[in-house]
Amino acid sequence: MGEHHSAAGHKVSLKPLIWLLGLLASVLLFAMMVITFIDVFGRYLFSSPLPGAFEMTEMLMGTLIFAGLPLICEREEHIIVSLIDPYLGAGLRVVQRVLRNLMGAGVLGITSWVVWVKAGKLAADGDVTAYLYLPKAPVAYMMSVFCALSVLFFILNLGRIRGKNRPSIDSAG
Amino acid sequence: MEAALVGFAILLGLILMGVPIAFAMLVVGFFGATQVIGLEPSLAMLAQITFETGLSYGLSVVPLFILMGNFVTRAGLSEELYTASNAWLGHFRGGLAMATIVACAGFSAICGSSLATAATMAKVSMPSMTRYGYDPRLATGAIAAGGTLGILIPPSVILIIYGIMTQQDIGMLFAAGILPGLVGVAGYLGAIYAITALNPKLGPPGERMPFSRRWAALGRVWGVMLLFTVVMGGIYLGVFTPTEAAGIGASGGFMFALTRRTLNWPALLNVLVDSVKTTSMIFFVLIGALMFSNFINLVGMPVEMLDLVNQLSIPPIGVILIIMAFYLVLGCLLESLSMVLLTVPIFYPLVQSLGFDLIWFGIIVVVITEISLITPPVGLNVFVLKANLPEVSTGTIFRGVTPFWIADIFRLAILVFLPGISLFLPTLLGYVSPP
Repeated sequence: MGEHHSAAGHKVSLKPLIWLLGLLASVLLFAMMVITFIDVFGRYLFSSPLPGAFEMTEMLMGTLIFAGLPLICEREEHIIVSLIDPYLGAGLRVVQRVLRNLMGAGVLGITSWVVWVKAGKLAADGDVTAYLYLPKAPVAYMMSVFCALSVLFFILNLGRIRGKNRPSIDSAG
Repeated sequence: MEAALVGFAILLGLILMGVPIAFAMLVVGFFGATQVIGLEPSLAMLAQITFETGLSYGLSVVPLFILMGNFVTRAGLSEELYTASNAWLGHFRGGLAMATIVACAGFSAICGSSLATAATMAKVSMPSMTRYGYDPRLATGAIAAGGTLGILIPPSVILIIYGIMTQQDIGMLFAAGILPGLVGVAGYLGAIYAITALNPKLGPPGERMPFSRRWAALGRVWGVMLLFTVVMGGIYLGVFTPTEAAGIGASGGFMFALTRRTLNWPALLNVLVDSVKTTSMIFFVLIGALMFSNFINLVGMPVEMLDLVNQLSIPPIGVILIIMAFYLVLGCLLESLSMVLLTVPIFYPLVQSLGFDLIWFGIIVVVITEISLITPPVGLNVFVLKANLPEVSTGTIFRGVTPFWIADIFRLAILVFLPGISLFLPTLLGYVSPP
């Protein structure tokens, strides 16, 4: 069950995209760490904290959480309760995985849409942060795009389920 | 009340069917809300919750503490912790298992997750316990139980999230977790002492180390001690906020990993991506839980529960005991984070209006959650161990964990009836329990 077959069925490899997403998320998290470090040390050693560190952290945070989402969806690494799984036959388990991915695609599809609408409103109002005047809309647009990417991965997972279960249907038990 | 209960039933049904917990909560919360306030406002609520949760400064403490734990694991500090506690305790009967518990407690002080603690310690301590002929039941039981200390001894991801949901001071919650954590360590050591006294073959003593080597081994854990002292000391003395402390801790972990030459580019990327993924998982469960608890609040469940308690004139401590029983049952079905996220918004207004302290209640919730991590049939720590030690059966681990589980129930009782244990350190730091 646990191993991940490469998506042999897809003509275009998604590996570079996944790698890029990982790299982006990593850079954001590392930047967040460095900003906090500079802020605290600046404040105590040179009594000059990093201006707007608070707001930068907020923006990085919003982007990085959503950047990680497609990576989880691609590997189907959500937090689930697998209590009844041992009692399901291979067929039902396929149904379960199909439903899981369809539901994920639906939920994140709606989320992507409502956040996009919200981003449009933020852009129209020219909403900016209080101190650095960073526009808020781009972060919201990014969130929406990452949700949409997750939907894409869910749909690709659906294609993978069929391909994966045909040869190894018995080994799942 | 009925609407909330129906929602709750559907939610549990979806979760049991294997729907990811985050999505199950989001879907039920969303459709529940449309029934009360209509579609348009519900969509706006979804957008608002998603955007604001993402942009929360207070929550940025979560990825930074996760990053710190991952860097420290990468730097190999966990092995040194085990070597040191082994040098001091290994020669006692059951000593290697005791050393595992103490090393887990030490590791918990820099890692906020039970699962990470159990997984890390399994790799470090299992080989030597096997070498000395420890019964797999005792060995795995000690690791699974020791791992649960991860979410009580600060820093703790669950305490952070509890603090944010209930608007309690995270530094105070961290302070409150220390003594109950030590009581937990004492209880686990007692359990090992008791079972090896009954059957010495379960855990034969290891080699006795001369004191020179003991001090040398202890000296090598200075890194862990330094990180813990700086991070927690900084929070308690008001030098920095929890988020800043987490940033400093992560930077410290990064430097340890660098100076020990355990980082190259791929490894660094790996640590960062893992931390982001763990954070994303937690946040989507959080967004789902917020949506669900908005629905629960819209239908007025917390208020109605308070009315019900008043009508039935249940004594306050009786309410607490009922809540505990509910957690134990729920803990057999759900994993710890979802359990806390799902239940705390429902219970905390009730507990607060009955006059209980919310810092204390946070500790009680975490201890109950810890217990659920080793309770059959779900007990997540047990499954993490199983994944790390394929040669041991799940049944063996559950049997091995039973004595520790009993010790935990005793600890829970002590903490419920003696709130002073949890509140002693916060009070010392200036916390005033609201009347």
